[in-house]
Amino acid sequence: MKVTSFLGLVISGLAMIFGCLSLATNSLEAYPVPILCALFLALTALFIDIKLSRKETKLSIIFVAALTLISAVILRILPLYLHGFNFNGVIHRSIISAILLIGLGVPAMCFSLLYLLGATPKAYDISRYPLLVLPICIVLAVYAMIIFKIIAAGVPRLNWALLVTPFKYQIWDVEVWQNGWPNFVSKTVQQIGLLNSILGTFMLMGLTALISLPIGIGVGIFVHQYARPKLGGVIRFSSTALRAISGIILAITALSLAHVVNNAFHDTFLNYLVQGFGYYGNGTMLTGRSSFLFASLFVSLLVIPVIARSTEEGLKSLPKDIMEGSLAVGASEEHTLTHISLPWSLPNIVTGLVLGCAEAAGALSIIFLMSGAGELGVNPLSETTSLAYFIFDCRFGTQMGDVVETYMGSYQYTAAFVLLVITIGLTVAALIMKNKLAKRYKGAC
Amino acid sequence: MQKDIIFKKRKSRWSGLKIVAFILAFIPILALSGIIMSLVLNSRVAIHTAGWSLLSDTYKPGFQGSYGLLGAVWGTFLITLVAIIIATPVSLFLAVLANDFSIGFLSAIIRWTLGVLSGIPPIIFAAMAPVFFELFIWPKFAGKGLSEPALLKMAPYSALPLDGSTLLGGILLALLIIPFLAPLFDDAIKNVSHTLKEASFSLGANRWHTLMNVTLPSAISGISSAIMMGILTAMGESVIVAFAVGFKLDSIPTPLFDILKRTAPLTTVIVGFSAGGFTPISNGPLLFSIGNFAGLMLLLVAFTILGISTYLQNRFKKRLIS
Repeated sequence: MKVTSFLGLVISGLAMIFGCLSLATNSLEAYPVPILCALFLALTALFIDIKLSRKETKLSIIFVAALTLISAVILRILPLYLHGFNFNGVIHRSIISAILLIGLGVPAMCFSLLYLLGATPKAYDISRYPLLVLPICIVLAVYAMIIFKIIAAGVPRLNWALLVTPFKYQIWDVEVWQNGWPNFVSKTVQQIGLLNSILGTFMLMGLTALISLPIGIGVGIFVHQYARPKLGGVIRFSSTALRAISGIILAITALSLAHVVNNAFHDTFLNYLVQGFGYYGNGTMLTGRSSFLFASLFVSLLVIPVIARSTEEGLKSLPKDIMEGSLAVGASEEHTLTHISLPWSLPNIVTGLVLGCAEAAGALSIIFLMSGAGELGVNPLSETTSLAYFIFDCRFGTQMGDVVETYMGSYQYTAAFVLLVITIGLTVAALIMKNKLAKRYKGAC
Repeated sequence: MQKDIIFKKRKSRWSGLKIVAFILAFIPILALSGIIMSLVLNSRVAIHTAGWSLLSDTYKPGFQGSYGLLGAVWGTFLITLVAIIIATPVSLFLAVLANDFSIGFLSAIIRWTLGVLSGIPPIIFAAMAPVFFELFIWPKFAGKGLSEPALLKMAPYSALPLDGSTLLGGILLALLIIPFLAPLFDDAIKNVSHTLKEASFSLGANRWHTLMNVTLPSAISGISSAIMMGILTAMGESVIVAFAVGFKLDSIPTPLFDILKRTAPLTTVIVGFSAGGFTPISNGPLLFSIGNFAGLMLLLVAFTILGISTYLQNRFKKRLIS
């Protein structure tokens, strides 16, 4: 039985490898039919072997074997390109052969692994690993491909000058006196760089943190400490809902609000506050689509629930002994909260804040209706810009009437790489903090 | 219990901290009601002008035209379906591998990997859409190897997936929600009480049978509420969809499950309508208002799903306590 099951293991492994490769390339169309035939023979041999040596009739094996034979016949009959039923595409046969090879290779490998290891209960558990591991491997390979692609396409174009120059494309007329006559000469400033986008990302993160930190902590304290269960439930539901509803809904609300402000307070400071403004190269003031302050108000609606939840978790995790000790020596409830509970939950809050910052750095769905290329500088009252928006601009810039796509379109993977470094760095920092926290709880209890 | 008794006796007074926390705690409620009010107020024009034609199939703008959003609703359904079908088994396998089937450091490695992957923002996946198209969709679904005359003979040649399709968007969305879904599944499976599992082991069941017959059935409400959250995330995502499907509203595809067509979902239709030139005025007040109406529809669906998910979670908690 060892020989036949080993044969089955090898052939089903081959089938799985070819199935995965068929997902990636079109050029392996000669192999699936022979492999399926071999798989059929191996499974039949395994079935007969089990029948002879163990006196068992394993119908499931012969069922899979029959499926293998049928699918080999189907693959042999199918043309190379499939189309019809008014379906919007021409499907290559390799996608079907990949599905069949993986779908039949996995059960075949499970069977052969089971009988190779002697069909014990432990072998049964081990034989289920191919089923669990294969899809995970495919997906992880896809993630690895994405990260590799970003590094391979982004890093070669990355240099120091790119990181410290702001993107600028401005044309204006300058009055020059020639022979006693005024003459207008067009002046062009054209720079390629990522500085304003990077600074804008940090500005957005900082403002969002400033706005959402007090509110998030307040919500967490109120829900945990003061609220009656029903009110707490309502607050918790609404802050969960803020995260769960689409970011685009927040964006369209922000757009309507900006619209209302623009109509009611045209040409006043409030309107500039909402729209954001900057100065062009020749000194004229330009208003944008929305300022950092206004955008971060709406981004912080996404971050508040994260901070609130982590504050609540931190307050909840305070060991009862510590709080009772504080109450026993006569501290008031408020004193306990500010001197015992909040310091205890500080690491939780910081973890939530860091995760929230990572969220704000990548939160494009809210700001992509109200950002610009960031040519006019980065301060809380200038037009919103961020790396995420810059990547968006590299693809849709022409549609939105700016020149980023023309001049910086080839740098989108560089921007993606910088953004990836920032967000993954923040996330890893939060993860490390979380793990340290888990250890602290063990020490306390 | 003891904590409650202590706090009941000293009834909390209105100190300054409590007032501040009270005011701050109402900001989420205010924001949510403000959003709902803004959507309702702004969609008045659409309901008044277009009326029931908002819920029809075809989109033909113009005088007394029909502004049907049904295609967008179907697009949302399709793209969410593709994403969930791809993401759920993989996330479930990851969660199982991190819990019951872990060997050595495997569970720690899986959790760290998921943590790191969850830090990838959606725009990165969105920027990958052309790469995925070039490497996967074009060779497999668009007849790359066929010659021009052979392609011309085929009926749907004019409608081949040019650079975006629901399938592409669904795959990228699945990549986005796997790191989000897997920890939720992980929690659901981890919270199954040990006594149940040990009873199963003591009766002689192996790990696989315990998983299939004890762990997964008792984690089912946690798992289904996690899937609901995944559906919400996939449904509300707009950046990936913008890159992979596009902004243009279309009617329902003719074979109903034609995932190789561009069927823009509600999120990008909102963007396309309310901000065609990316300013509210450029498309006119009617289309802006229709965008708001689409947002209202999305919000209603999201609230329904959120309600179901909250109900399931509460049931889950009750079962754990009992």
